[in-house]
Amino acid sequence: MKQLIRNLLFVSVAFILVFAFLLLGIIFQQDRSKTKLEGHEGENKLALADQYAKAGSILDRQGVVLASSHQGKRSYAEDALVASALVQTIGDYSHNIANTVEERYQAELTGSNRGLFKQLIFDLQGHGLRGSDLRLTLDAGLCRKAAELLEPYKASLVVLNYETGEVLCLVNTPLVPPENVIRWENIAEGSLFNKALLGQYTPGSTFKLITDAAWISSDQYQPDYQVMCKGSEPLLGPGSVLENRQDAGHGLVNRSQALAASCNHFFGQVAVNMGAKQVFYTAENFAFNADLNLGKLSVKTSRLEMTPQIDDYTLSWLAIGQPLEGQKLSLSPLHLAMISGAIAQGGQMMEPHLLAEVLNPGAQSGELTHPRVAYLVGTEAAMHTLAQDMVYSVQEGMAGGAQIPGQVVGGKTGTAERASSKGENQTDSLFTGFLQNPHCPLAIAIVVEGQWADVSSLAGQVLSYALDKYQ
Amino acid sequence: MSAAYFSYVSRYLTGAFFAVAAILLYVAAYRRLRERLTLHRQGVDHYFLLGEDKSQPDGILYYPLYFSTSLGKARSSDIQLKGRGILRHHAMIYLYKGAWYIDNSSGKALIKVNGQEIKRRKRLRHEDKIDVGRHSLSFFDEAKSAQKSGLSLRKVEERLSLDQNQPPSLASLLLGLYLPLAILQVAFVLPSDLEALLPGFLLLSGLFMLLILSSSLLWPRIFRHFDSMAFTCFAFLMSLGFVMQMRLSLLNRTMPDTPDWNAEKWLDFLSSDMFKQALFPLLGLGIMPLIIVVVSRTKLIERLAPVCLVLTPVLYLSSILLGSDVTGTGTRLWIRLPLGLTIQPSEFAKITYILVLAWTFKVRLSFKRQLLFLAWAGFNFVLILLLPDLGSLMILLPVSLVVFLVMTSEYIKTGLILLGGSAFFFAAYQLFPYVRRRIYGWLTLWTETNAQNDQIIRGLKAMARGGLVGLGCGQAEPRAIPLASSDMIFTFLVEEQGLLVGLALVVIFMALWLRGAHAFIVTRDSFSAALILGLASSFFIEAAVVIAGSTGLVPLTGVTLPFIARGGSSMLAKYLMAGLLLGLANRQAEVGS
Repeated sequence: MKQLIRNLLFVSVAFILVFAFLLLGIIFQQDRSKTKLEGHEGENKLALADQYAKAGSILDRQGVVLASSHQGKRSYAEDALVASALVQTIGDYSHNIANTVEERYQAELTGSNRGLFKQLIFDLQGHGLRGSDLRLTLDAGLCRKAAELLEPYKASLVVLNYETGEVLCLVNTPLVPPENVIRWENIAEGSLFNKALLGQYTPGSTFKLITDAAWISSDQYQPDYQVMCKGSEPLLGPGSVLENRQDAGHGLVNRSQALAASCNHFFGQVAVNMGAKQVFYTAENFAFNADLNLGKLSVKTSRLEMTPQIDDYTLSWLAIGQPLEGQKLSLSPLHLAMISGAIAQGGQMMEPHLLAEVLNPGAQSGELTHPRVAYLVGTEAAMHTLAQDMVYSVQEGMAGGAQIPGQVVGGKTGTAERASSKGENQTDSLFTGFLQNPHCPLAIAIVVEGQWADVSSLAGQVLSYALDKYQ
Repeated sequence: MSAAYFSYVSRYLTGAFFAVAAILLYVAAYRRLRERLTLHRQGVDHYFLLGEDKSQPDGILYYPLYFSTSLGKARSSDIQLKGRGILRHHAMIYLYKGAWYIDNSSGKALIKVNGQEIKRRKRLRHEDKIDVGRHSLSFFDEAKSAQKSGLSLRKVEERLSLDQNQPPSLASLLLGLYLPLAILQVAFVLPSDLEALLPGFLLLSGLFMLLILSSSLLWPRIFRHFDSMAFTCFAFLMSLGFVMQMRLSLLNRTMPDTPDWNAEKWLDFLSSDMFKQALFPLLGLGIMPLIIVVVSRTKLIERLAPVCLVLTPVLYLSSILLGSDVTGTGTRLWIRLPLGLTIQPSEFAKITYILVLAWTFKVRLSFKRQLLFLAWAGFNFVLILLLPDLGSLMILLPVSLVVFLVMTSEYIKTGLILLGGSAFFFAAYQLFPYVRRRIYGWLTLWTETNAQNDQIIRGLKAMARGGLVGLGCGQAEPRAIPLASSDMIFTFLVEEQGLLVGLALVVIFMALWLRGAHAFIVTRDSFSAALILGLASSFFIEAAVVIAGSTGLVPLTGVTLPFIARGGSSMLAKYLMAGLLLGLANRQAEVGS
């Protein structure tokens, strides 16, 4: 008997160990699933439909409904154009598009991130089944305007308040209605991709802002420095595709004039004068190679990679935003807007955010997102100088289309050569700029793919619309 | 507050009832087992053997007697005797129904009682002389001796401070509160287009509730040693399972979008499914008292055990030859019967296997006989692999090891078998692609989604959504998890009922095993003891395997959660096993009377 008892005790210990393993393991797995598997792809559509049937609403900054649930069904903005314009950002309940508000804020919208006590309070108040509402910083009207203007193109547009970091507009074309995304039919090529956040574009001449900032901040900087641009100087290489088209070049140009005229020679030369390190250092101050995000939405990191022994010729091309083989230079439209915003804001690059407020069920107000400085890109004085160059560029230069009478608008256009997915040479048109107005401190970036477009004019129209609304 | 919202909010109550009851049952089971172990590790008061030993001051050697006491040369013997003619396991002295017996179980040992050689079993009386080899021992019954002197002795049972079989009354009360509330939760969330099913649902649920609650009240009065605590554990599991399956039958189901379906046909289909899911628990509860009576009062089980030697492989072979893959999971476990019914012989084969296991190891076998059993078991395991049914293997192998180890004390051999088992699984990994796929899916659980782990990932996401108290009855979407009503029922249960109920479920299974261990100690014979141990271990191990598998702790196998998961044959088999266990537990030795 003693032996039997002993054996039983031995086995009991094993069972108790398994028992403890199970208890702890279940707790651990549940906890791990909450963080690691949230918003995981491949969800069952029925399950998602069921979860979102009681989810909170997504509103724009003024309360316009962008997504809501009613009687067990999820629907999107009443205005079809707004719904289509924002589908890559708002997303769809079926999670067919990843990296969207519906997907990344699923926990808030469905209320699954509430603690036990909070959930109990909501349950007793009768709101337990409902998720939280999200008020975004987006302006539905502004997005609509942007969508109207960009519809003929494959493009992307970002508008943000550079003082607070609020993103007011995030539109990508071609457009696609949310219903088509949910049903997975009639989806235009490229319409599901959020270019504003995940696109990686060669900046072209817009990168001259970085080169300009680097020059102004460098030890070699001379405010009166001039370059005789003859358009075909050897530094840029004869026959190069970005060689200035004017046979006579720009002539003698200083910094402001060079930015306004988008003179490749000037910026190529100053890059050589100050050296690759200064260009690289300044770019990194402007958040190249840094982590960027838009709340829970991922943003592709902008890249600047130079080979260690970069020669002057290659550096000069890089400085004008057109990397040669072996170098990497790319950014997203959101980052492009942030760059202008930082310049307008005296060197403070604000952290962009899309989520203004989380509203718990039954609550009138909720948890607000507060502005935060993400990066300090340069000294106030240097950025002020650069900002003035950008304003001059709009007033006198190639970015004139962005001009709004009576307003201080700065900007920079750019064109960038790249190879398409089919191996053909294509040109993208870019613009980045700002509107310096106390009621409407906005930064903007536009990228039009595969063709030349009057992007500065498009930007001007969008900024005018915003000005009318907010002034 | 609407009825549906009440159902939602009341999940705090049902969760609390279930969790508190689970803790109470576990603590009570643990305390009673500990008390029983303490009692049985000490000698039985007032009974002992006396022997001559000239080295002792008084020339007498005193051997305490336990409820069963082994004598022999082996070091594991309770009374170790050396000398010529003493076998390793020479004799057993045990207490049964208030009387003491000496057993020559091998038939080869030379044992004399009062000068007469015994070949099998003989009752011992006060001052009987027992000759074992050159050892001469006297059986001393102090009670008799005291009686002669006009004294009386305290009964053994009075040493137990706790009622051994009664559950904490709060646990019983919570069962009475939990079950009706859980049933109401389902009733209150029934959508309006299914209102026609409400009377049928309430009738079936009412019947179930009546059977459960009346059984918990009546059976302790009918069966003298009825293990009410074990039954309360079973009752909670059965109740949870019943409510879950009713809920899954009725809610979140979509009528096929084809012309041959209409609302009426759909209602009929749901009603029929609901009835089918209720049938097996009701049937199980109905026949359980019969099983308990037969098992506790007759030796039918002992007689059936040798038959099961042949029956077990026959059941597996029938699946292999006649089985079909009803669920589309690649396993041919079901045999189709007329009227659209199916039966899963492998579920019943688990019972017959455990019967053979207990029957084999009720006595200590020679090595040759152990090998024969190993060959038989190995043959069955190969058949199981051919099904394929890795889950059954993951249950039966550890159950076999547990019974083997406890009944034979063969630690080294158990270790070797474990090593062999590991090698076997390694070989299975190499030989069987489906095993490799399962392992691959488990290993890549947190890094990628693939066809092998998609099911578990969805289950884990569901668990994450559930939090501590769950989403509430009817609020989760079972169609989000493949096989939510069967293999993945645990994760769905956590999603709707909460982590608290999920953990409480594990606690109840552990409490059930502790009750099995308790019954093992007090039962009257080694066959009953081995069978109780096998059945109790099977419940716990099966639950552990499926819970660990569905939560990604171990690779998933197609095993059902006892009493909770959908399945006619598996559900019925579990009720049969519960009846067996309760019947065997009722065969307790009566001591000190």
